[in-house]
Amino acid sequence: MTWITGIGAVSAIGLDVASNYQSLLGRQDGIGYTEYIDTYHKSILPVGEVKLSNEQLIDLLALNKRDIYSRTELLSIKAAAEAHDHARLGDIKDRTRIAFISGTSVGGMDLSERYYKGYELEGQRELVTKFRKHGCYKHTESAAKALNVQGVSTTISTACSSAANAIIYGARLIGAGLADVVIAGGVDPLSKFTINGFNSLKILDTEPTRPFDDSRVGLNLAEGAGYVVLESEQSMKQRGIKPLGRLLGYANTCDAYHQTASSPEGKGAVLAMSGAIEMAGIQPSAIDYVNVHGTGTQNNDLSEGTALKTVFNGKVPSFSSTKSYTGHTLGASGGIEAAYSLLAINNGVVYPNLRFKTAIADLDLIPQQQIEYKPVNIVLSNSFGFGGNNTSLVFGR
Amino acid sequence: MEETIPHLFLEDDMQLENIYIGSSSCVSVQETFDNPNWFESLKPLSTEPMKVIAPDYKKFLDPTATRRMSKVLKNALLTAKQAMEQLGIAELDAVITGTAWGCQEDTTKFLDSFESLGEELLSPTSFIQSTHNTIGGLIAMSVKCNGYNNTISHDFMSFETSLLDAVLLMKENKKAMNCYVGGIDELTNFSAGIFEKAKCFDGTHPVAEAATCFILHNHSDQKKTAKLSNITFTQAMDETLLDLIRQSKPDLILSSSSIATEVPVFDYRTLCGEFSSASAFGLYLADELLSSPEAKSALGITVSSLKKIALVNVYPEGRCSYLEVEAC
Repeated sequence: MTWITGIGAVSAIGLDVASNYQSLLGRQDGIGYTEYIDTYHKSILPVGEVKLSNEQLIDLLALNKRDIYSRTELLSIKAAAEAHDHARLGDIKDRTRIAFISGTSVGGMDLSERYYKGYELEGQRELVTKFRKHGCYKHTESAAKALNVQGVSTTISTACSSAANAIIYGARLIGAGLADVVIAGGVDPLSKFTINGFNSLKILDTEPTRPFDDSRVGLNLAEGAGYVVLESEQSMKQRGIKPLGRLLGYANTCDAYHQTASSPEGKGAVLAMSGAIEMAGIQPSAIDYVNVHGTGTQNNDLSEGTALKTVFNGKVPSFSSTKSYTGHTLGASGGIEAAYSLLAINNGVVYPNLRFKTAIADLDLIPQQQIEYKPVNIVLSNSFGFGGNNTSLVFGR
Repeated sequence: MEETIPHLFLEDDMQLENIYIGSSSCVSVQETFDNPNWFESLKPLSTEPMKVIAPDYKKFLDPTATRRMSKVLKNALLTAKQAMEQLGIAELDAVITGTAWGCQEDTTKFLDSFESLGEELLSPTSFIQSTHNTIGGLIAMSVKCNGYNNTISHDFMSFETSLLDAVLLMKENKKAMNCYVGGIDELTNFSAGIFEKAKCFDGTHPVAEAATCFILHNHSDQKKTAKLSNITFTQAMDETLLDLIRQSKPDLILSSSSIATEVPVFDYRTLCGEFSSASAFGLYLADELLSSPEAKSALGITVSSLKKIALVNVYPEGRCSYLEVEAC
């Protein structure tokens, strides 16, 4: 049994878990124009940007100002440290029993896109640092080092399901006895690369996104980081720490349909959701709330909605897309939304899906529109990505 | 930093059913692809960055379907199909791809496109094919695998932690599975220049590239070429690792590092060059050596009996990985 004993999150709606939660309750989204990225689209395409510059993050984290950091590293360290401290992992003496598994889509792309043209011109030391920060693994190693975590560390890169798959990897490490505690989740920075990439696919909205609405036209790209602390029952009991919940089930499947589009019937999504529910040993009707992937694109919401109806046999529980607040944080989304799922369980609350007006024709699914306080025992969290990578997680009380 | 990372002894601690290498395939700077006797015509390594010996793609892949694919995608797809064919399977249960640098050609192409054309009216093709999981997604689409699909990108540990993922998956599922595990990296003209300038590698071997894959399985009655018997990670080349070598007594170690041991050490990077997932080539060679006495003599390895081979990698940041395979 894998328990969750800590969470950490940084996103456009808050620099820590508490401020994220306040924004969720206050219907405050974080969508606006970028302050930090020099792009043609800066006043055309709204994004979900973390409201701190790199310099401010370096100050906040008390890092050495003379070193070079990718934004990916800074966001990762910020959220992972919060999860680490929340679970009081500082008390653990044998640091080799703590593993760190992180997910990211683009790694240190924020540095590469600024400097790669000049790589040939720059001095050796600067070049080495900046280029090495491009690798997906670099933020993982930096955060593990910052937190003095010495167990197995690795990095998952399955686009938008990266963090969710990192959580699965972490749970398996605990299951196999290879770690007592795993900090698992993910991070992605906003970058010119991803803004232009998603824009070239014509799936970015020029307005704040409207997930599951019939008039939806696309997503808002965003950044952030989110981590959970997974812990074995034995370690949790020994440390006498109160759990936030359990990871009851998970499934990673592949739609195997198209590199960037989901199949109309949501085959991979159905397999992921039903696989996670089956592993949890529950009936679909036991799910109290679904934190949907809900990017706000035509394709995702129709496909995911169809899959929801299939899995729940038409009786879809309360569901909402918190990407209507944060935007789509890509590889971080599964980690941030895992934190939101655990907050929903611990506070007995279901978050609204902002800006919903009209159900998608043919689907007739209405997301949660108001904040509702009710017992939330089991939450299903979906993360679906490019390459058909679909992952669902089931969290329980 | 004397402490060790928790390690995994497949047979003792985990009570696993055995995990086997069923088949493998490799495109590399040697003539490994579709050539069982590749070791008889070894190519000497150059001092310059080395690209793979490109297979005749048209012979194996539909040219229309692969027209817009970068070389790394073609090599990954080709090797996956060949490994499946060798094992005589038409379906996979899992696709796990280890790649440190992902799809560099498309990444650079997309960066260049908005640098040179501006940020309007860009074609999405190179962006779509730039993400690390393009490789695994493509293989899954090509063989219609709706099962487990993961991509791991952790520099020098990309392949080892992918193998670990496959092992943990099979252990958890407790059913017969065929898992694709790949170690894939491509070298572009851009990355070759940067690797050299940024001194990403120690310069002992030329930088290179390869696409190597294995079908791992846990069926005792299916074809198998070797048994995977250990995966261990340690913080450094420390006593734990040396103890492990002393206890496990491999007949041969494949490594590019100097190790304080009596066991003979063969540097496989003298065959494949240097790249972050080179350990996948190392495992390919280990598998070959266990099943082919001809390979052993062609490579000048004089160990009389080869039943157990270890693969030890020491990474720039100090960590080590230990993989071990046995004849079966």
